[in-house]
Parts: sequence; C-alpha cells; structure tokens
Amino acid sequence: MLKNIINSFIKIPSTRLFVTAPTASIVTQSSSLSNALERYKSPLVTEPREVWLENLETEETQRLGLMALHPEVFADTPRIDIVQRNVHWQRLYKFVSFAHTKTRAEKRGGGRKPWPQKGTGRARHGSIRSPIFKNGGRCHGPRSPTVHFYMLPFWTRLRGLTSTLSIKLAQDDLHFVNDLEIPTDDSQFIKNLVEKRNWGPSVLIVDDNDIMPQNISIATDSINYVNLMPVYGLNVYSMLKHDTVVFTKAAAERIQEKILFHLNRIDANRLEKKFKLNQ
Amino acid sequence: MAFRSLIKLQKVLLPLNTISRSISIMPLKCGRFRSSEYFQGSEHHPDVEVIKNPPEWKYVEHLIGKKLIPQPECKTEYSSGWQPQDPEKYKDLSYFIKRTRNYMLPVYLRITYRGNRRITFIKYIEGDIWKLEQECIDLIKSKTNNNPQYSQINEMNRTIKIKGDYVTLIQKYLYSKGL
Repeated sequence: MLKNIINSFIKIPSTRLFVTAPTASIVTQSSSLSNALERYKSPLVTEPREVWLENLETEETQRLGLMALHPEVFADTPRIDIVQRNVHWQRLYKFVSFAHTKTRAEKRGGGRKPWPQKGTGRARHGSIRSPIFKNGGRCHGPRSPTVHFYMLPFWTRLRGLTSTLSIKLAQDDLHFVNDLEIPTDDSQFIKNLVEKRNWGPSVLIVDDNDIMPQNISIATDSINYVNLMPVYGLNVYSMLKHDTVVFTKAAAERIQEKILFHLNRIDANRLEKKFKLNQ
Repeated sequence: MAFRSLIKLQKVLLPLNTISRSISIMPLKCGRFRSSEYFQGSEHHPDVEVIKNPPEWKYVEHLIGKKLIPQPECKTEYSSGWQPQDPEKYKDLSYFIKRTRNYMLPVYLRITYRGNRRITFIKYIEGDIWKLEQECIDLIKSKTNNNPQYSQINEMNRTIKIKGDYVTLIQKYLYSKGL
C-alpha cells in the first residue's frame, strides 16, 4: 500500500514548451476600431466633427490644421439628465456626513422614573430623556459617520463623458492643441494667453501623459484657475467646473479610442454586474 | 486519519532510514509542492525552445477571444430575419435609428404590472422623431381596425413609447425602410 502511495508522488518530468505570443495579431484587433468609425452611415450623423488644431507657443492663436473627431464621442445626444446624475454621483461618492445626534440611551441621566406612575395627576413617564421630553434624546436622528458612497452604472458614466464632451464642443468650449510646450515658465504668459484667446474664467488642460512639460507645470502652478489633468482623470464634474477644456491632440485621440472601445467591446455584460467593493 | 495513525505505527516498527522516507510522504496534508524537488538552476532543466509565430498560435488566439464586437458577415439573406442597414433605402428619410452595438434594432418590449402593461420602446432615434412616431401610429392603426393608439415621445432622450406589443410589426417596418 505504501509503495503505491510513494509511486503516486514520483515527479513526472515536465515537458514544457514556451511559446512567445506574437503581439501583432492582438494589436490588429484595435485597428478594427476604424471599422467602428465607419459604422455611422447616416446622412444625419456621418460627418465627423472637424476642429482646429491650435498651438500654445504664442499668446495669439495659430491654427495648425484640422482634426477630425468621432461623432459618437464628440457629437453625442446631449443628455443633460445623465450629466446631472454623474455630477450628483461625483459629489456624493466621496461625501461622508458627520451630522450626529444622541439617542435617549446616550443622553446623560434619565435612568430614574421622574415621578410615580399613579397618584400625581401628571402624565405617566419613565425617563426624562425620552424623545418627547425637552432636552430628551433624538429618535432616528443622523448618526455619524454616514457614508454616501454608491456606484453609478458603467454606461451612465460613459454616456456622461460623451454627453459632456459633446456639450462642451457644441458650446465652443473645447480646444485642441498640438502639445503643451510653452516658451517660458512665467505664469503671466498663461494669463495673457487665456485672456487673449477668450478662454473664460477657468481652464482645464488635459494631456495624454501625467508627467507634463516643465514650463507649463511651473507656469500654471501658481494660477488657481488653470489646472492640468492627465487623460485618465477626465471626469464630468471637472469638465463642467472649468469654463474651457483644452485637449492635446494625443489626449483627444486617447479618450476617443478608450470610449469607442467601451462602446464596442465584446464583454460589455461583465460591466453590468453589481459593483462590489472588494472585487 | 487512518493514514496518519499508520505512519505513527511505522515510527515504532520501521528502522530509522525508512522512517525519514515514510515521513516524507506526510505532505499529503501539507501540499504537493513540498514533494517536488527544489529549483536547482535552469541548467538542470531540459532545454526550452522559443518559437515565434507558430502555426498553432491561431488556437491560442481563439481561446483569448475577440476584444471588439465583430462585424456581421455579409449575406444576401439571414435565417434569423435580421437585416443589415441599407444606406440606399434610408438616405432620403428625415429620421434615422442607430443600431445597437450588437447591430440589432433598438426596439424593445417593456412588460410591467405582471404582464398587464406592454409598451413598445424605441430608442436611438435621430432626426425627425415626430414623423417616425406618426408613421408608426399610422402603421399600427392600419393593422388594428383603426383603433386609437397611445404613444409618448421623449424628445430629449430621443425615445418613443407606444402602448401595446407592436415590436415585430415596427421592426419589420424599420427593416423595410432600410434602418
């Protein structure tokens, strides 16, 4: 019997064969995004949105060329209800309410019956901290900390992005620049640039990379109304908070590719499952 | 249980050199990884051949699966009754209905109140939504003895609701329009 067990532990010589994955065939799948681009054939919506590509090197606008944007991302139906739901969610998911009240048990005293049950002619009471007493405890009051976290459905979040981008573009609040290279690190240059280009009271600059060029980082650091953001941080609240949103060309292409991928991904049903905190 | 007691028994019965051997099979409980040898360096292992673009890779690819929804195959007729959009037919229409990401018509049946309320729901409408609604209502009226039909248009969300189950009827109508 023992021999049988020992035999079962004899190592089987491994016959492994490593195969390196040819990455090219995976990459070609993303090229079928261009097929997704061709999906729109309607005369009503075929036209890709064309925008000017500007520069940041000079205070005056110099138009470098035209850039085509996908209508499914930048010319979506502006669903202001979905935008509102996104803003509400972004406000609430990080909000913790610290409002707090004491119950009758937590209030000081109140353990003694205030007066006898019978014979006084007064109403019967068992505690001076009962909720109907002045200075009594509060029943069903707010308890601290109350977490207001919830998760918005994936498609509502995605649709919020496309709606907000489309609204911003339709209102001429979206600008596209080739890169973020500016000649000086002087904040006055950015102030003048925003003033001359009529970019309004606040500007959000979105780049593809989260390590921005040195000059623009230093120049915008002291200006509170000009903010930098990597493309992965793009959100509805910030886009609405800032008057003008400036995309670099790479950032616009990246967000467009990401959104188109999600709109056409094959495993979309995985995203519709219930959100779990510990997933 | 029985196996462990067996080993205890052998500790007494067997000579020393076999005890260590019998204890080495204890990993029945500890896990199989203890029973295998430790790594002695790659030179003690058989050589590994690295292949690029082998013919078998297509099977791996098949297992990985596609990332994006593939485009439907081009056929003259589909057994399911599904039809692709036809730009030649719909190009003169003043309205347009976008297909879903699975290339289906976005016409749905919404059943509520335990099956008592059935609502035909159309979404992704672009262009003249009022004209489409009128055409749908006229179509249903022609099929239902000119009974009055009830519908609701949400212009902001670009959707139409029609009371009653007319999903197949409307789908066929939209297919005939090339949408």
